[in-house]
Amino acid sequence: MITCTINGKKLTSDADPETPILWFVREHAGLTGTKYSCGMALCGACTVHLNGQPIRSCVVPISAAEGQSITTIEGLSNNGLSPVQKAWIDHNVPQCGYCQAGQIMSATALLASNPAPTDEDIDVAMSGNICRCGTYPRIRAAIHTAARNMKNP
Amino acid sequence: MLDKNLSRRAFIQGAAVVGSGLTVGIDLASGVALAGDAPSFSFPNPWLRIDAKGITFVLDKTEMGQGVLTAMAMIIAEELDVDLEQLTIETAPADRIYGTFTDLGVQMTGGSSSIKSTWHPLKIIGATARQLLINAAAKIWHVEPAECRAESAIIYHDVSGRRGSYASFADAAAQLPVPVPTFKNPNTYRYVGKSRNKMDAKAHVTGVTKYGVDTALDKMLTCSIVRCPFIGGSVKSYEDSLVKKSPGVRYIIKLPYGLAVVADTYWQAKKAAELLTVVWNEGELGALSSASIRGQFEAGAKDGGKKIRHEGNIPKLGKASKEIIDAVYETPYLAHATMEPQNCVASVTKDFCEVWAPTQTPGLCMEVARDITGFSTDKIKIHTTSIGGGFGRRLLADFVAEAVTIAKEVPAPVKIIWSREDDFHHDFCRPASYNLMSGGIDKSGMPLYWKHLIVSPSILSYFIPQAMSAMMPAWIPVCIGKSIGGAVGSGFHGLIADDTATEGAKDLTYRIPNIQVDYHQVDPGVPVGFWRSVGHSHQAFMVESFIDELAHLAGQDPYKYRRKLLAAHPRNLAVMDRVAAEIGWSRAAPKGVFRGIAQHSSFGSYCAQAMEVRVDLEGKIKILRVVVAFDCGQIVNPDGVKSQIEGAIIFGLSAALKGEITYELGKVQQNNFNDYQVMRMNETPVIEVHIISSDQAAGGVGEPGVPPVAPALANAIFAATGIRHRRLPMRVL
Ligand code: FES
Ligand code: FES
Repeated sequence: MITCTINGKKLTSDADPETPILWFVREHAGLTGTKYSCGMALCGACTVHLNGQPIRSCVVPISAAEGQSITTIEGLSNNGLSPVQKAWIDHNVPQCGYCQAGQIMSATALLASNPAPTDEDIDVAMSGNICRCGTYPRIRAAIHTAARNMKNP
Repeated sequence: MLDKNLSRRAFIQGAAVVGSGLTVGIDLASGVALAGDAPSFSFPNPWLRIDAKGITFVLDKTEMGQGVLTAMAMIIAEELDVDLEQLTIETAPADRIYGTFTDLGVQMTGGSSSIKSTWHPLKIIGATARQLLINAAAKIWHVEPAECRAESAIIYHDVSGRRGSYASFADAAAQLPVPVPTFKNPNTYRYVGKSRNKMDAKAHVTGVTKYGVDTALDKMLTCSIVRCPFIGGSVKSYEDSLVKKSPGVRYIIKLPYGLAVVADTYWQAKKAAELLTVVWNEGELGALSSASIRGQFEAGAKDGGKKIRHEGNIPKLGKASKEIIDAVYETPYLAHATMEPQNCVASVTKDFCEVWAPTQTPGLCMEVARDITGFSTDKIKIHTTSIGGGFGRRLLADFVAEAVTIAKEVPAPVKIIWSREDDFHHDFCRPASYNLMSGGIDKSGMPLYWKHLIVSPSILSYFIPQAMSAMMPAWIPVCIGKSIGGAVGSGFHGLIADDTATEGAKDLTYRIPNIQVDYHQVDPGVPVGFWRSVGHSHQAFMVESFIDELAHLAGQDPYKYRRKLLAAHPRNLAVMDRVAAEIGWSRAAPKGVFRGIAQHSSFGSYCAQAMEVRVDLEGKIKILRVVVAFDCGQIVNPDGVKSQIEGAIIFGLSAALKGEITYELGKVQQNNFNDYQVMRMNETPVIEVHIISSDQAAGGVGEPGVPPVAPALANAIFAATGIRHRRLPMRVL
């Protein structure tokens, strides 16, 4: 039996403890905002937060989340849009959108630890997230905007 | 092919009450390959419905990030005079009628054609509906229509102060004769030509958007497929006793090319599939390798090719030239690598088939399902989902065929999910090409002749057999449609040249007195398909690199050299001039910075790019800046266009610098994003997009930004290093 908290809700399941968090949230918790794309921690599409830290959920088994707290894109903000999500809309970032949950989770974690990231900081934090539609320039701009807005809400 | 100038032949066929309310659509009078499909033609295709539920716009195109949903809604909202927020967007079902406006007559989203082909029809639909509603209001109010006006879905009669909503006049409007629409004056546009964020952006950033892979149905099972790693290979024997015992496994289904493990969840299916032992038949391509493919291309090149474009007189010109260059240019097979791997959900019962597919071609999915189930089309329903990247991969319906085949064997809905490895191993790649280029210059340095032999597989010989039955009238039995398709497809082998291999090369825009472009189709047997900008994606590299070579051979500035040869192509010239001005071509670049330029027109649009690069001490290239000038004629959503161009630059850079599918012993050698690299945030240069607005017909937007990327970069690298890259990818990062 696995017990963990997902987006503030406690969940108990008899899923195989080796199930990656990605497939656990998608298939057991029914939260499909977190995406599969590579399954090998190469693309970042599956990024979620485990106790606030960004992880590639495709390679972390749910057993590692026993008693811990997972946040997915669906749980990022419980009142409207988060500043990062707002900045994403203002910069018209998403194209197909498939990578964007992972991008937003990575960016949110970056801003939590570094409220005023430089371009180099963004490169380091975001280069694990692939976007085949090529929205990187807008992601960069949106992170700067979100940082500004979080400082002067 | 359809006449692109739809406005002359298109007319509103009728407006009718459907339940209650007004449904407006459009139909083409004649010359359409679908003629004879009586039921579909007897009603106007529903693109717009106005009833008690509101104003519904039925989107017949697939939104895959290119912004077509927003742009098409903007056109309708503009002419209909409603607020964008007042429109409810509904996805169209698969229906032959929606094939009307595509080149192949199949309901599809591709070829950068959506706005190009629907701009006029959508305007006609919107404007006609508005006029009908005004006429209905005027009739009820006993006033002249000219005294009424429409705004935000309300009709006003200002003189008397009367007003009423569109919905309140919808039933009456449906009874009136269809008027000839008057379009809005473009100067009064509220939406068209003004930037608008994507209507689906909020759903994307909150994780709400449902892609194909997110489809969840009651009792649905999920499937992982172990596929033969050999291209064209099959299952010889297998041992599955461990799999059967694995938790959650329900069915193991043998396919010709693999085994489908169906379980309660994907993870269970995937884990169990790893326990299979399979012995494979290698098939006919077991010895295939990238080296053997290159050998086939080289041998093909020795035999020359079929005439594609011949002007002037080439043979004697080698000697007449002051100087000549002979060069071999090569481009590799490329994967699409959509972020969402292929997937599909299908449910097949005794008498009904339902499919949820992330597809660019619902029309083709319908035919595939019809073929496999034997059901008539009224017993099949195709749901088009949001898609996590298309780039041409999802024009094929192989994954739909697979899901329906498996679902036939399983008494529950089944979802198939391809792994990333499946996706790389079993893609329909952008074909490789091998090119012999030869050019000579005269005493003044200007080109005297241009010779280009293209050796490459044909995409259409793979696509046509699949698509043919979707293009046939519905009353032709599917087996006949397919066999015609097969005949036409195999007919491509050597009989006629395939445009998709030569486009971009045959329409060389430079004024050169002697031109010879030939094509030799060589098919090594690797499945190939459409890939963002198709033939242009490789041919622009040859053409724009080679003209640069001639400019340098002549000792002339590559920009000014091109200018002299483009007098007959003012739009090509205009984008070149703009990009040169924006990057400051006439001024010297900063120390250590070097520039390259390229221009290319495709899909009815014109794109020029200039790049600045720097070389570091280890000889690695850093791309500093990409400047783009783009003319796509009529623009609906400028920021949407800009974001497509930005994306195209990054997509093009991935291909120019990294992308390559190779083969060894019959297998694809790349597996995942570690050995098939794509551009990432830290490698992305500054991108500046300059849009030239014009009132010319709308051109394509999704693809034309890709072709100039590789040559502009290669030309900049040549300027920086003196090394001429004639083979992609350029591994210089
Ligand atoms: S799916 Fe986890 S990093 Fe790609
Ligand atoms: S928006 Fe399509 S992959 Fe990033």
